[in-house]
Amino acid sequence: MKKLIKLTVNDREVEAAVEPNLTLTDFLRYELNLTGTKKGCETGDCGACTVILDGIPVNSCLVLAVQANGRKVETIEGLATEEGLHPVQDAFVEHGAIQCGFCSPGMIMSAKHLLDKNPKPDEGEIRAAIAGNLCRCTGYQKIIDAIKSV
Amino acid sequence: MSDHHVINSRARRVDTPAKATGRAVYVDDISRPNMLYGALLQSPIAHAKIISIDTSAAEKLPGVKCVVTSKEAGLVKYGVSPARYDETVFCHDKVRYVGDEIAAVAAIDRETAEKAVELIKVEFEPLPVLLTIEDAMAEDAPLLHEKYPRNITGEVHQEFGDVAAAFKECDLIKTTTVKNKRQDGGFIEPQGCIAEVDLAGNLTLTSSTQSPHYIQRTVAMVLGLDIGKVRVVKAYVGAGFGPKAGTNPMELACCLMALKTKRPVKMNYSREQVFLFCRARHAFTHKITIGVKKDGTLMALEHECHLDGGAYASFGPATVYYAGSLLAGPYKLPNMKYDGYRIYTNKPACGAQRGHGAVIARAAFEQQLDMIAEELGIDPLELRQKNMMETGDTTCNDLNMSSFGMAECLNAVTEGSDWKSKKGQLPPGKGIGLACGFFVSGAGFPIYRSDTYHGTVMIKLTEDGGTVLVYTASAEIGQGSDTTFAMIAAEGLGVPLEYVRLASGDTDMGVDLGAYSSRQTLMTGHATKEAAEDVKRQVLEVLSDELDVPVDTIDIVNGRIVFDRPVDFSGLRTRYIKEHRGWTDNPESDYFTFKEASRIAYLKKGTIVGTGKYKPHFLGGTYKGAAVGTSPAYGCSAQVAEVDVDLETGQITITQIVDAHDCGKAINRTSVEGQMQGSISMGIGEAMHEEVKFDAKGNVINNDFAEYKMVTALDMPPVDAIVVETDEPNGPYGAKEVGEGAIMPTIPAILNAVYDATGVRFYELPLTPERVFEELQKKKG
Amino acid sequence: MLLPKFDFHEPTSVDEACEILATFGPKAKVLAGGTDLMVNLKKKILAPENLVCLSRIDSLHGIVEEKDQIVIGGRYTVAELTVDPLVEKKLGALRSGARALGSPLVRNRATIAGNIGSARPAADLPPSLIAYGATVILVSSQGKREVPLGDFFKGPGFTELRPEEVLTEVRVPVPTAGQAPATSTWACARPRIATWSMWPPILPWTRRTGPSKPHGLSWGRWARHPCGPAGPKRHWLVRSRTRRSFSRPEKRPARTASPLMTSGAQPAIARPWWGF
Repeated sequence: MKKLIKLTVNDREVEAAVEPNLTLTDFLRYELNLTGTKKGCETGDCGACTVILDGIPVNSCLVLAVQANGRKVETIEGLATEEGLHPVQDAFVEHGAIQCGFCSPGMIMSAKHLLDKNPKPDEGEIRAAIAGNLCRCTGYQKIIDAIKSV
Repeated sequence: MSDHHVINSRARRVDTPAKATGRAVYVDDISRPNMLYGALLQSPIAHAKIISIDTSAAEKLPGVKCVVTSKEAGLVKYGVSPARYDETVFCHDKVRYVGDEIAAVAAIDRETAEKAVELIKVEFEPLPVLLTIEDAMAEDAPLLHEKYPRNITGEVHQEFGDVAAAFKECDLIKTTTVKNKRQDGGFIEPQGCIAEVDLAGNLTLTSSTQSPHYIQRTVAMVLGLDIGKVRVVKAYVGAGFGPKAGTNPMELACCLMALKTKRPVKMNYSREQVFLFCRARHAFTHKITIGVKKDGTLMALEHECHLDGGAYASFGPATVYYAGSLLAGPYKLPNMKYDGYRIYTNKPACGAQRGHGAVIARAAFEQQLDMIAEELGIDPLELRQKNMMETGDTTCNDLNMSSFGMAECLNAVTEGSDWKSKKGQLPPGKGIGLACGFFVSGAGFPIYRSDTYHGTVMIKLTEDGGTVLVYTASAEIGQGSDTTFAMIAAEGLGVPLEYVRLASGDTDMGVDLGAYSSRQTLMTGHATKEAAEDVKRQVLEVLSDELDVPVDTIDIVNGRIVFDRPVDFSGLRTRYIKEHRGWTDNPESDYFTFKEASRIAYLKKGTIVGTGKYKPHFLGGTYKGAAVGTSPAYGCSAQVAEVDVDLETGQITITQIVDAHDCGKAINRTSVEGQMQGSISMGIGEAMHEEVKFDAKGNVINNDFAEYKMVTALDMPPVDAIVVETDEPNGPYGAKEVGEGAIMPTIPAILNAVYDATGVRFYELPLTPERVFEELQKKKG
Repeated sequence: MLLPKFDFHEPTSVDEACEILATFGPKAKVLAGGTDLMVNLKKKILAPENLVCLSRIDSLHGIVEEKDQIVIGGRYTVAELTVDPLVEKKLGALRSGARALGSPLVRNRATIAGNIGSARPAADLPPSLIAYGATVILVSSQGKREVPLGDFFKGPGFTELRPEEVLTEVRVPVPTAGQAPATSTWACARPRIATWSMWPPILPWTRRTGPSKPHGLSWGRWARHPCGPAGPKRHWLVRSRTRRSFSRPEKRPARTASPLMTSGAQPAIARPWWGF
C-alpha cells in the first residue's frame, strides 16, 4: 500500500504517495525526474547515488523513499544556481576531474559535504571522504586536485 | 608554448559542465511515453542442453506484452569477428555459461517483467562444466561449440626470424610463466538500452555503447533489417574500457521486442549482469623465454600463451593475436616465435579490455627483463636503454614505429623518480621498479573485412554565420573525444573553441568504428581535421572571389580573417550588417570576422558543409594475422613504481608512480594526463586486488563492488603524469594514443618494485596480502 | 534491482516496535541502517513481509557513561562512533574498528546494532567489543535480557537474537588502568580492499589476567584476541609462542601479532552466504 510522504528536495517541498519498497534513488530518478543521481551498483558499494540526507551523505540506493519522509534531501541538481556552477562543480570541470561523469554527481556531493564541514582538508582527509565513491576513469588524482583547489 | 591556438592546451572539456550538474543524459535517464521494460531470462547453470522452454505462464501474466525466445529471434549467428560468429540472440540447443540468455520479456513495468521471467520454465539436461583451460582442452572434454575441436576458439602460430638459431648464440636464456586473473570492466554505468520503432518502421536503438557503428551492423544483420532502417545512438556513456565495444544480447532482444510490440522498450543490466556479460580482460597464462647476449642484447623470444576465454569468442580471436604481436616492441627483437591458444570455457565470455591482449604479456616480459638484468649484473634501466627501439624502427613482425619517444619517457621517469639514487639503495621492505610499454593508435583494420573508412566527419557552418557544427559518429565514453574533436575542428578552421558545437555517437552522422583500440584521436581526429580544412577552404574561396585576392593569401586565425596585404572588406561588412538590421552585435572590429565571412560564404554557396574521412594506408606484413597489432602509430610509455611492503604481513602500499607517455602531440594536456592516471589505477587494481571468482559450478561469486575490489581514492598513490610529445607523421597535428598504452608498464613496474623490496618474484596476480605473505614465508623458509 | 513488497512500520518507541515484532514474529525484519538488510532484500536473500524501521525511535540513539559502563544506543551510527569524544577517549579500539568499517557513505548509515545483529564474520565492531567484554541488551514485549557479546554470535548470520527482540543497547565496560586496548585491521586499513583476506581485525589486550575470564572467554595468560573474519564464528587464537609480541601492544600491534595470526587463524574462503 502506498504511503504519503512529505520531504524537502533541494529546498523544495515535495509530497508524494510511494510504495514502501521504492528506494530513494528510484524516487528521485523516476518520480521526480532528478536523474543526476546515478545507479551504478544498487548495493551501496559505488557511491554514484550519493545524496545528502539531513546533512549527511548517504547511498540513496540503501534508503527507502519512506525513510526520507519529513527529511531534507540535497541532490546534485540542487548545487548550481542561476549564477552558475557551484564552486566544487566548477573545480571539477576546471581540473579535468570528470571523465565519463557517471560517478561525478555522487563524488561532487561527497566533496561538497567534506568542504562544508572542513573548508581546508588535507589530502588524506580528501581521500578518506571520497573513499565510498568509486571512479574507474580518473585514478582520483584530478578529483583530489579539484577538491584541494576549492 | 606552441604554435597552436586551440590544441595542445588545457581547454575545459565541452561535456563536463553537463556531467558536473547531473544534466548529462545517460541511457537510464531517458524514458519515453508508453515505454515497456524488458528483462532477460539467463541460464542458472553453466553447461546444459535445453530440452524445452515453456513461456505460456509468462505470456499469461497481466501486463506482459511480449515474450521472445530463439523461436522469435531466429538463429542468425553474430559476434565480433565474422570468422568466429558463434552467438545467437538466445540459446536454442544449449546454454554455455551461467548467465547465457534464453528468453526475454517486455512488460508494462520492471516488476512485471521480472516476475514473468521467473514464470518461464526451462528444462535442462546438465553437461559437464568446463571451468579451466586444462579441462576444456582435455581429449574427451565435451565441446562448447561443435565447430571448435578441443574447445580452441582460435590459435596462432607465428615465427619471425629463427628463434632456435638465435638461442644458440645466446649467453643467457630465461623462462618464466606468469598468470593473471579475469578482470572485470568495472565501469560505473551498467549497460542499458532503449529501442523504439517509428511508424515507418525505422528502428532507433539508444545504447550505452562504445561503437554505434558495429552495433548498427549487428542489429541489422541479426534481425534481418535494412541497415538504413537502423539507427544507433549513443547517449552519454558511463565508461566502457572495452566490454561495451561489442553488441550485447540485451540490445538485440530490446530491438526485437520493440519491433514486435511497436512500443519503446527499455532494458538495463544490473551490476550482477554486468559481471555475467563480462567481455572484459581474459585470464592469461604466458610462458615466456627470452634469450640475450652477455652484454644484454636481446636476441630472441619464444612465447606460448593460453587464454581462458569463456563461452563465446567475442573479441577473443583478436586478443590472442595481440597477446603475441605486441611483444615485438618496444625493444629491438630480431627473432620471435609465438604460439597462442584461446580456449572456450563455461564462464562468461572475455573480450577486449584496456590494453587489449597485451597487458599481462607485457607484465611477464618486463619482469623477466629485470630478472635478466640482475643475472647479467646490468642496471634494468641500462638494459632497456640498450635495446630500445627508436623512431623509424620496424619490429620483426612489421610494426612501424613512425614516432617513438621511448628514450625520452625513460629519461623522464628515471629523473622524476630519482631512480639512480634509489635503485639498489632502499632499505628492506621498500622498493622501486621500472617498466616500459607501447600500444597501437587504432587498429589498422576494421573488425569486419572491409574497405570502409574508419571515420567520417561532417562539419557544417550555421547559415547565420559563426557557429561550427561538427557531426561525428565517434563515441565519447568519458575519455574526452568530443572535446578532442571540437578542439581539432576549431584549430583546423582557425576559430576559438567556443564557436564549435559538436554532436557525436549517432550512426546517422556517418561512419566511425568507435572507441576501441585507442583509435579515435588519430583516426577520427584526421577526419575532423580534413573536414575543418574543407570548410575553411570553402569560406576562403568565397572571400577570395568576393574581394578579388588570391586564396592562398587569406587565412583564418582565432576567429579573424587574416590577409597578408591591406584589403578593403567594407563592402562585405556592409552587406553583412544589412542582413542583420536591428541587431545590436554588428561587427565593428578593424578585422573581418569569421562570423561575417561564413555568412557571406553561405549567401554565395548555400549551406557550407565540409567532410573529412580517414582510413589507414595498408599496414603490416602479409603473414597470417599480420592485421592484428598494426597501427598507423604507436604510443609508448615508461613508469617507475615505488612500494612499501610490510615484510611480516605481506601488505603492499604503492607509495608513488611516475609515468611518462609519448602521445605524439597532446591535443588536450589535461585529458592526456587523465588517461594516464586512469590507466594506472586500472593497472593497480589488476596488479593488487581484482579477480572475478567462480565457484565449482561456474557462478560468479563476487558479482558486486563489495567483493570485487576496485581501487578507491585511499588505494591510489600519487601519480606524477609526465606528457612526452613527439611529432607523429601519421597523426593529426602529430597526435597519437594515450588511452591504453599507459596501462602497459603499471603491473610490471609494481612487480619489479615488490621484488626490489622483498627479493621475491611473483608469477601470479593479483598480489593479495595472502599471496605475498605466503611467498615471503617460503623465502624465510 | 527491485525490492520485494513489504509492509512498512515506523514505531516511535521500543515498546511499539516490540509489539509489532510480537505480532509478526519471523515474518518481520528490523531495519536499522539498512546497509546489509537492503542489499539482502535486493539480492532476494530475504523477503520479509514486514519491515520494522527503527529510525524514528529517538531513545535508541545516543551514548552515555553510566558508572563503569558506556552504554551505546542501537541506532548510534558507525560514523558517530568514529567522531564521538567518549569513544575516542575510552574505547579507542572500538573507534579504530569503526573507522575501518566500509566506506564513509556506509558508515553514515550503518548502526552499531546492525553491525552486530547481522553477524557478518567480517563485521568490524564485534572484535573490539568482545575484547572489551561488551554485552548487548535484547528487548521484547516479554522483557529484557542482557547477553555477553561473546555468546551472542552463533554462526554467520546467526545470533542469539530472537525474531521478536530488538537489540537496543550495547554496554561496554570502561577499560581500567593497565589495560591497553588496540585494534588493527590487517590488510584492510583501507576501506573495501581485502576485507575478507585471512588477516582479521584483532585486539591485543595486554594485561595479566584480563577481566577475569569474562563471560567464559579467556585466552592464554596474556591477551584476548577476538578475530573478525578469520572464520565463520568467533575464533580464538590458541597458539602463541610470541609473548614478547605483546609487551608493548600499543606499538605496532598488527606487525607484532602477525605470527600468531598465521598460525592460528582459519582462513575464510569466499562463500557468499557468509556475507563478507
